[in-house]
Amino acid sequence: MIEIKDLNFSYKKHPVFRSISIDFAPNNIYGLLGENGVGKTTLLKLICGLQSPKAGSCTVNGIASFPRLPETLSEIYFISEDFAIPKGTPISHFKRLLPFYPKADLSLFKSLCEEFEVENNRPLSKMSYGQQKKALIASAIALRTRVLLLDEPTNGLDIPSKTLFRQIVSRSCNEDTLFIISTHQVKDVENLIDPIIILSNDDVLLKASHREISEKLYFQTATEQNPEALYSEPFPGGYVNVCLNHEGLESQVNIEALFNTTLHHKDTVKQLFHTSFQ
Amino acid sequence: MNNVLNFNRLLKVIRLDALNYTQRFLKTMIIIIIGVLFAGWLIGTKQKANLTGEMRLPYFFICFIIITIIAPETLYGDANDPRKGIRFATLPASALEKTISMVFYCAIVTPILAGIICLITDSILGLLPFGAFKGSFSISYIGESTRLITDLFLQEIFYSCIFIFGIVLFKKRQSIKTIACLIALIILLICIVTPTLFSQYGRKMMIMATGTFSGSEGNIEPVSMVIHYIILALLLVGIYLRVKKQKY
Repeated sequence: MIEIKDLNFSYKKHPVFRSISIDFAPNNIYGLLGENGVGKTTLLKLICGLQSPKAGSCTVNGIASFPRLPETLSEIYFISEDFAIPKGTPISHFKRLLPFYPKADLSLFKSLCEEFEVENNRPLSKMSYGQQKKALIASAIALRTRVLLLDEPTNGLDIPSKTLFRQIVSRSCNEDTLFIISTHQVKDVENLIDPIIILSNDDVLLKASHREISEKLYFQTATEQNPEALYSEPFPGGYVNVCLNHEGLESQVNIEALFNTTLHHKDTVKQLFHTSFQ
Repeated sequence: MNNVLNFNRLLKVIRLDALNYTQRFLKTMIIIIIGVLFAGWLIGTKQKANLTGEMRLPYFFICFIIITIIAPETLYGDANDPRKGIRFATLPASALEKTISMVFYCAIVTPILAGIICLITDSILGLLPFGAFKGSFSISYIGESTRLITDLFLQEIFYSCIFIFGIVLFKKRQSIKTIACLIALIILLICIVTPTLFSQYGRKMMIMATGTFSGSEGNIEPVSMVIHYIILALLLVGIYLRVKKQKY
């Protein structure tokens, strides 16, 4: 559905991406991870046409996302991390957008607001940051676009809302839709995001599903550090050791440990998952 | 799907902008007109002069100028903002449809509405049983100078487009920067090109304000007209291209 091919992008003299290729298929909730400033938000902006590639291409359903054509825009919705608060109430905001999105569903929006405990008749400007975010997430999901780009969606949400967010996103994802969630809060979305994409400076280090990761890496929790581990990090009561999975052992992917392993062993991880990310 | 201009989608954009217009600008416009007239009345009181129909005319011009300058920034100032502009940019409508709606509200709806509000205000003031506001400028002028009103309306479209171009060009303090650029450009043109091309509008305003209008003054030289239309066309193309190519 989304195809990025040999894409180069830079802000003036600061290069962000150098010839990256990656694609995104429907029925997936992609987790986009990376250190600050590696270009997670920029990638989302490139996908929805807010930025244009310096070279290469970024297409959505075969159409270049920049310039922003209505056909593409009606299939994408983007919630930025530092979103501007729309005027009016959540319901008035949604009703304004409604005519532009052919599959938008007002009753779904109302039920999501109820689920999130957001008063859809209260002015957004008088709501807390978390409430505003929940209202925007509800409207984004109820617009029922095929691509939903969420930048740090769990920031500002309380614990029950994070749980609800995971439930709502996982049930909203179907064979026609895809979510890309850019986040630093991996614990919030640990069981939600799959596949995982890790960006580093100007490159994609890893794009793999949980299954692929656990086939190649073994996440071991032990009381001691494993000397053969690619990476170990302490946690209360022991260590998380990330080892090469030579013996085909089964383990649960620890995204935080995976992320740190990738950053410490960029080349090894890249070679291990040696793919063109397509 | 027609990705350049679709009539139904254009109507949707116009409807959406109408909601923003009534929320953001209608009240501001009324406040400006009442505020300027009140200031005029205060000045008149100090100078012991009544704010009669003829005296009100320059104040309505001031209202028009203020409204023309602030309308684009108030209504679409966020469109260029890296954060707030995302909603405008990602709205599923084409750049042309967004541009048409922008120009429609700033350059057509705003002067018409401002004119209507001025006329209503003028009529209400004229009907008040106080000597201070007697008379009506609309009765004195409008009937005899339809051509001049049309010319002024066209000029208003021209200047509105300059300010719309300013808001798509600059990210912050758009109106002030546009005025600064305009002043610089006018000085440059006065110095380099010919001053006569740009003196028409000012002369007309002066004529109307002082009440010494005569029909022969209403003729605009063809060269000046052509240049105006060429600049207007360039401004419209410029606005469209900026909306289309803007990055966030």
